[in-house]
Amino acid sequence: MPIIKTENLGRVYQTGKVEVVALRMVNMSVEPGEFLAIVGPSGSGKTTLLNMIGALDSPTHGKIFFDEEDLTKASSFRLAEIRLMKIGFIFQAYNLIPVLTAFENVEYVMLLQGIPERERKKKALEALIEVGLKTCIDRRPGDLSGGQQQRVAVARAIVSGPKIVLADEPTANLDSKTGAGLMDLLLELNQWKGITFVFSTHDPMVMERAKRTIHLRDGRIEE
Amino acid sequence: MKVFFKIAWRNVFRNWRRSLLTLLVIAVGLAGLIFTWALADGSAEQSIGNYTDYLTGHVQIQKKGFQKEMSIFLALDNPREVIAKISQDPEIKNFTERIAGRAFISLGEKSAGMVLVGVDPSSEVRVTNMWQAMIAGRYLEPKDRAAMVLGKAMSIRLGANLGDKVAVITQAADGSLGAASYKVVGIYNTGSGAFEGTYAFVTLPAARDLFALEGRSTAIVIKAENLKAVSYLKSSLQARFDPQKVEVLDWGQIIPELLRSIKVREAVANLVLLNVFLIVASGILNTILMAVVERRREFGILMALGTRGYQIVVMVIMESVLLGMFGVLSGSALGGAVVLILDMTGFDLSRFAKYLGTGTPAIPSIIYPIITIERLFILAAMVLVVAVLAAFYPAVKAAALKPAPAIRQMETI
Repeated sequence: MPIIKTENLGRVYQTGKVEVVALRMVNMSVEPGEFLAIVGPSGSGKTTLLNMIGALDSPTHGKIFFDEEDLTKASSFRLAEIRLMKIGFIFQAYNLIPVLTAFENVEYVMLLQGIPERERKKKALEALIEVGLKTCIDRRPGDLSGGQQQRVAVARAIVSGPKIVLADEPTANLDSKTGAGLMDLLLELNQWKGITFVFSTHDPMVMERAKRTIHLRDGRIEE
Repeated sequence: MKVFFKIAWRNVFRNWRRSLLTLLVIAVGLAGLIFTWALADGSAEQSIGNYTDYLTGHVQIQKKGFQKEMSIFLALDNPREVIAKISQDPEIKNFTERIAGRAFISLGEKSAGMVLVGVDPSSEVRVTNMWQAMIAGRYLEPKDRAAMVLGKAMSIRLGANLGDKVAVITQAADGSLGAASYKVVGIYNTGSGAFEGTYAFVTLPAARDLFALEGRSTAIVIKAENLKAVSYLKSSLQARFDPQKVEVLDWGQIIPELLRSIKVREAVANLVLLNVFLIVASGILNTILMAVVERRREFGILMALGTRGYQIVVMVIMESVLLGMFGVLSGSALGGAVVLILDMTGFDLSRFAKYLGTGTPAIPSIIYPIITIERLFILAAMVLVVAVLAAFYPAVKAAALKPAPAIRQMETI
């Protein structure tokens, strides 16, 4: 049973009087344990597609099923609950909460989930150790390098055991060495922990590591 | 909830310059509110004090209708009986008997209408302090039978000096024409021309002779322990008398024009309060709105992670309340300090007397502001309520953001 399935998914943005079609008739699915890359040039609709399947934005056409639940019919409260309990996010610009430390950033999602303090702290520390950041846990994002921030974002995304982790161009703001290290880490988490990853990219190094790729161009999947 | 407080707390210090500016707006605004209210309260209390201390006392017991008609035919029939019912009351500090009636006063070819007040000097000085307002001569003494104290304005109008004999004519209670002459022994000055031009004082026995009111008086004038006790005292005294025959009046009923003047000043002070509140509210609204607009990407991230809309609202309002609390603390300290200093030195409005009409018993020249803990709490609570209300709109707007456009900063607040 796929975690995610889309049916004729479409998204049109209205900019003044101009309509921009970001996605057209996208049909795809993501199976558990996949390490899937959505690839394509800038403006092809990769981020829009990730936002749709991550319940961050709603489509103008078509349907999205997450664990067989139709996201297009869910309330904003339910969408927040799905994001909280089932999805982990890694963003291109890291997007950590700037006033919280690395440890607090990782702990935040579990706080929302209502996980007891002792378990929460144990899991947050384990996740940070797993991404190789044991020594930086009390630093705020502003005091961390780009690579370190992205690792904190990875720890935050995986710590609560989501069904799927969505990563939007995770290596775009990193140098090639740090980017490769990060991708190896994600691949390891996929192989050893069975975490499902879907990421958008146009970086060949990332594409090489993907087990399956979906090519997007002008908002359509290229066969 | 703890984590939202932590985020709100740290956000306050994150852009400390902006927070400091908002804090200053709140603190200065609150200090202004405290000062304005303290000034209004201080001036009202002084005005009441001046009138009640010079003339009316806090409460008067009169025959029903006297206050309205001021007719000598409406004198208390048996003031001894009234005194017997009140003399042991612990809420009463002092009391005195009086006669007041309309009369004509003349000196040579000049004459004027006035209110002649007969007082018992020995008890009067414990109820009012007219004796302290003498600028020439002396106050009345119990043995005086043909002595009068005039106001400065009346003495000028009549051209009367100390030692002059003035003639008084009035309607007596027995239907005859009462007439007497009095030697001017003292001239008083209260700063109010209207007051000085209206009231002249003789001793109670002299007034009884003039008005043919042997053994009677028109009012028992009472000084309460303090101004706050007046309302209770009035109702407690009224309960002892038949309201169809005897009226118990407080200072507001005896001098309704003073009450009106205080109400007008209160209304002006409230308008100032409202304006300052609007300034404080717009300061907070501006800061929080700016902070929300600036951080819409962060709100998008928080929502992407599963933060609910109401949790965003709580977070934004907490931030505003924290700013409000810091502002309340510093504003209370600043406003309290200003009021305390002015309570000792007085706030001198004499140079504006011409424009403000100060320098009368109703509006004193030097005002001593008064602030109570109760007032401070009310203002502090109001500022915090304003902080919550001002933050509500930006908070709701932040909570209504859609995560994806907010993260890409495509959505505006």
